[in-house]
Amino acid sequence: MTDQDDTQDASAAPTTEDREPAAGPKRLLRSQNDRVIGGVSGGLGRYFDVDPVIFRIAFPVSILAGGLGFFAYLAAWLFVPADDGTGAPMPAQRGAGFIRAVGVIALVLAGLLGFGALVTGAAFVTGIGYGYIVAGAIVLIGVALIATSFRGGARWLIVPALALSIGVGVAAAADLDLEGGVGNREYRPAAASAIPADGYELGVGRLAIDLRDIDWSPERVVDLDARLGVGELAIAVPSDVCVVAEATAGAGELRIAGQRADGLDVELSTATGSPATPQLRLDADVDIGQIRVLNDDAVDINVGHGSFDEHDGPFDEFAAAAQAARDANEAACSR
Amino acid sequence: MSRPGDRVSLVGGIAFLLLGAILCLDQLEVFSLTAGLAAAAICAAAGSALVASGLEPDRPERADE
Repeated sequence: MTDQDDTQDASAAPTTEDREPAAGPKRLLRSQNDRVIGGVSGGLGRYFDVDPVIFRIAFPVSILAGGLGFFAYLAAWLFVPADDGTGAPMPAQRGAGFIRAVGVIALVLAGLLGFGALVTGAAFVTGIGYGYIVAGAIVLIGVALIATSFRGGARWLIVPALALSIGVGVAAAADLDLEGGVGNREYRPAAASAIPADGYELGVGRLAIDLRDIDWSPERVVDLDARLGVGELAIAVPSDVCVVAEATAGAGELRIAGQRADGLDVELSTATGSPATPQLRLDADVDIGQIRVLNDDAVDINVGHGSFDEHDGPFDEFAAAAQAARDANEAACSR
Repeated sequence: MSRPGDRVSLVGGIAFLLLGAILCLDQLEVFSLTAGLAAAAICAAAGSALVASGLEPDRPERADE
């Protein structure tokens, strides 16, 4: 082989600039030129011939709906090859997969943490009474988006705006009130007169009110107001006390003397209008969480879920305990 | 040279401006948002940006492509 032949061979070898995409079926590749994190959305946008921002919004949203988007993006980043700028897959490099995996996990976790922190922070600020500041920040982001739209746009601002909106929206919808403090509080008043006139309140945590030490004489009627922002509110009374309750939850579950309701903006009333005594007239509200009223003489208010759902046994046992609690309250309220 | 306008940012900006105003009015107790209304408003804001991007004509290739 002559020097001339070598020159011809070298000149015949394809370069990055003049390589053509391989003929054949369209192939999904991660974009090197249109990427924010791993080029997955850019590649999907090119593959389906749509704007990649659709996938850039859809992936985070799908993470909120069960987390499938997180694993889908991770898998695509790990297993879909990157393009080399010409539409052909980039040659694999030794160790690149591991480094890429570590980088993917770190970046995705950082993104999730950042998004979650914004949502949580916005909800917290709203809960302590300054939600209008966060709402104002969302308005300002909207103004910034409009202003920049005439000079190329700043689409990334949509993500923090969405996170802040979710935080304020959830807190607003649940009427979240975190001004009562944070922690676990347990009250065991020895007499009805020891119950504060404005009731008990807690911002975040567990609020337990055990009323079984009160002298429940046959004519006794006790009024109780209880408010909780986020967490669990547990109230215990003797089984022979008629529980007349008006309970609400912005989002969560209500279990009152064997009756149960859950969901969003949920309400539950028991024994409304009953004149039976002794009686607990309860007005309870939780923004996000659970209210449990245990009409049981022996159950530990601090153990498990207490009362009729503390059993680990089969459903029949659970249902029987709930029925027993309902029967006890019905008997107490029909005297 | 001036950069071209971005319809997604414009639509998203208007949507989040309105959403922020609604949330602001709720926080100032002008009215009270329910969970359903709040969820619908947030989905509408995010959805409008998605629709705008979906209806957007193909963007010109970047200079580095």
